[in-house]
Amino acid sequence: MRKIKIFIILLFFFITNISHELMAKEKNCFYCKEYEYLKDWPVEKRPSAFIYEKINYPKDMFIKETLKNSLFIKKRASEKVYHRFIKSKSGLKKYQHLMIKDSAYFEAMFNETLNERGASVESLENLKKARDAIRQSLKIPPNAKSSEAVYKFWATGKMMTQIYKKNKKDKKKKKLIKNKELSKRIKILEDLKKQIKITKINAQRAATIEADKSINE
Amino acid sequence: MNKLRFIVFAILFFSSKLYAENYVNNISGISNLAENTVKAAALQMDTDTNKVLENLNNELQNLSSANDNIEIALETSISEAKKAVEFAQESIQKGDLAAAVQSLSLVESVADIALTTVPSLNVVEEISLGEDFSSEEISALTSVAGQMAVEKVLDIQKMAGQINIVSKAGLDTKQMMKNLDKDGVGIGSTLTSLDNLGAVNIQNITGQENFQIENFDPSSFSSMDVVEIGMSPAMMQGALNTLPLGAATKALETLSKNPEKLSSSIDPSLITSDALAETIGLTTKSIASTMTQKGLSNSTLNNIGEDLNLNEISIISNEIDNQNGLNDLGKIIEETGIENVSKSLEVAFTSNDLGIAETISKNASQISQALGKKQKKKVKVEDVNLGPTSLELPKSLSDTSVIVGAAILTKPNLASGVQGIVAPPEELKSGGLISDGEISFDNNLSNVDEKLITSNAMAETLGAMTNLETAKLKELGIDKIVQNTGLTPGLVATIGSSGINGLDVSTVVANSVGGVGSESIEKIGESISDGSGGSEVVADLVATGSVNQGMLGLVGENGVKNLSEAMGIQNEDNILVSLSGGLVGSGVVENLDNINSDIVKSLGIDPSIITSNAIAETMIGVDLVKMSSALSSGMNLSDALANAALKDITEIENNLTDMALSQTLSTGQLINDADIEVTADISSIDSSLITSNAMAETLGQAAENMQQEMESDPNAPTNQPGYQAIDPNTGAAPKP
Repeated sequence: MRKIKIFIILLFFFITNISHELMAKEKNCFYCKEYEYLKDWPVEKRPSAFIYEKINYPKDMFIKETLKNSLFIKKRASEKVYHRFIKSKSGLKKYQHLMIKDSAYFEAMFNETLNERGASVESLENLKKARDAIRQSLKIPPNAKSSEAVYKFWATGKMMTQIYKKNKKDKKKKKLIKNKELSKRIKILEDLKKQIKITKINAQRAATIEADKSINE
Repeated sequence: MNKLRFIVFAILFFSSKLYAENYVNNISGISNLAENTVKAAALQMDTDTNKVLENLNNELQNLSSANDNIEIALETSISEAKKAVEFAQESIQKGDLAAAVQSLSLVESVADIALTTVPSLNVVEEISLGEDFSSEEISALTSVAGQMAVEKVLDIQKMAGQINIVSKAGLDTKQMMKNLDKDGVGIGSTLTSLDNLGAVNIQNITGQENFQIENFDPSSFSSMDVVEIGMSPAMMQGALNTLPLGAATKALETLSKNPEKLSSSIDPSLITSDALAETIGLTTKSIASTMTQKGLSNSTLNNIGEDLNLNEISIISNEIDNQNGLNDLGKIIEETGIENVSKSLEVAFTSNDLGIAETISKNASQISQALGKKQKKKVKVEDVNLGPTSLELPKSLSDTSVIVGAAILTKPNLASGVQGIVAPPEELKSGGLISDGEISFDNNLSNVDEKLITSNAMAETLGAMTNLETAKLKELGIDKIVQNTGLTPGLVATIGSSGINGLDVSTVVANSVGGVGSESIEKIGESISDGSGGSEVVADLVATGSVNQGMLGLVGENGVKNLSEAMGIQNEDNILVSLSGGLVGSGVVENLDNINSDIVKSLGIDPSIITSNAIAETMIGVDLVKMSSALSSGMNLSDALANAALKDITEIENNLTDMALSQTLSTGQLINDADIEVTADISSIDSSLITSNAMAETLGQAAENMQQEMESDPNAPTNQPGYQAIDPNTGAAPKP
């Protein structure tokens, strides 16, 4: 009887381990389980987010030679994305204007990949998740067309770059921001906001704690 | 000292029984539980408000006299905020909790406006679009400005609701706003900036060209929709992108009934009957375009157009489908005058008051942080050094107590009303029954199916959510405490879980009932209830993210049954799902073949590849609200099902509260971790990129994948000779 018990326990551990391994191998994507490459995935069966869109990219986003071919566009866009979001990701906070502008390249890279028959569906699904996250910075809906997102990122990035350049030279403003008396007043208002927030949360918590006590009495 | 404070508080409370408008006394009449709960809340608020004032007085002593205009403006704001805190204190003593809570919220609003006037490196004093921007880029910028400006409009509508309550309670808010506006930090100054942008029209709001507080009716303004508020057609397109579908249908309803409300937002020089007709047509088209982008089908769009006698919709709906949303906007900009739009954009990016560039920068900062940091599990709001400190919640708090605590404070918390531009039900708008502090047990504030209001359904749902017998609920008065809110038990639980976790309760309720106040949405709800809507209408609601708690209450028992069955779900009790907002009673997806294939197709999902894996997570039940939100945010069916899977409510303590919080977070947008004091376990909350931590995980993974792909590719630019990294001074990437 004891041996049977030990055998059952060992079997349980064995099965659990195997199922863990299988789960680990499971792909974290949906369509990729049915279609490995885009060429396997008929356009009429794809959600609109996975259908290539011919885009008239903003002037200055690509040079003429690049625009001749979808592959060139993808390559240049990937290069930009790699530089901005991977190679120099530590500088994203400092160069937010450039991050916004280069998000247009992320959109272009995703869209042009949709024009490659050999593109991996798994990669595209992962890229789409990242694309949707980046779109949140400008509240662009996930269902919006790539062209719309490209123009929004590009134009906003251009505008923010102009602002960045002008302010970089504005010593007067920088001095004003560092003004101690102004900082004191800002701190008072910020503290006040935090304290009011705590007061409102505490009222709700006090009511809940008291209700719990009264119900259990 | 504390004892003394309690005695003084008790004496004041006793003497305050003389006041007729005493919420504390009125609600105490329901039961001992109600009395103990409301008094605990009032006492805590009194103690904390005293600490806030004490701390403020200390900080004020350290200030030297103000030297420049900005310092003066901030000082005026601090001084007016102090008056509001003092008024909150007086209101607590009188037992008027609505006035107390709304005065405190008004302090937050005043501080917000003041802080946006502080010079920022994200704003410049002057900017010219010149020839640097193409017409497509101007359309894109206009849409972004509209999307960002709508946040400010929501804030100001909320502030107006607060002013409405506080001024009725006796605070001289007119003088307060005059003082603030004198220094450019009042509601008038902000509305004027929004008017310059084209996000509102002061003529529409006050009947006068320039803002004067004497002509401003805060309750009326707080309840207006996007057309009534005078938003320009150009700004409307971006704004409606971020608002619920019902906000767009409500705008069409107003446009159909009162087209003249649009005219005051058009340049007078352009007003000829032809130009007006064309602008109305283009605005209609622009609104319809945002509805299509949200995922509404052409046939439902055409039905809405027919109902509203907006014939343009049936003509234009076919062309909208395949267009880029910016194309229509480009035409509207041309028609309304590109010069006006350029001016608006210059205002958008140069005005500190609007904070548009600041908001963009804040959102971008979240993305950059997400990419640059490792995932953290929990973030706590830091307590400031002085003033009140956060009350710790006991670990074993019951779900019932969360519901009771929330219900007791629902009316004070929501008295300012839900903002009109999200199209909430009438009674939830400022000045509706929600603003009325009287105790009543038969109000229906969220347009719940009348059959459910008049039956025992509410009590039974409450019983199922709290695991208490009806007799016990009645004995404790919990049934009446919840009925007094006029909301469903599901909404009350949601308010409770959000409130104790630090989310803004009025924003949560706005998300939960947004759109339900639109007649067109009500009609769609009716068609689902009586079964005439068909699968396409169900798919429309799901795909556009319109299945919120308000919608589940609106469609009632039959509607929930039809909605669920179309999604392959058999619920044990459809009434329970309707009134609990999908938190309790929801069934499982037993077989994927049960999901109506038309719906699957309408959602853009290939039915042939849905596998049984997709239902593995749903063995307890499916939260329809989360499901709709996940699908509308672009998630695939498998992830959406896993995300919407419920937990077994009978197995885990405090499960209801966790589930309500999870549902709330999944329907929110880009909630900053710092805005939430996460005390609950949020590990089960999906990944729909809700918090910056979840976003970090997704982006981090994507970045890692990209890096691996690039490095393994011999043709990648980084693997070529002469490769150069980014310029450290400008951040620019190498030229092609």
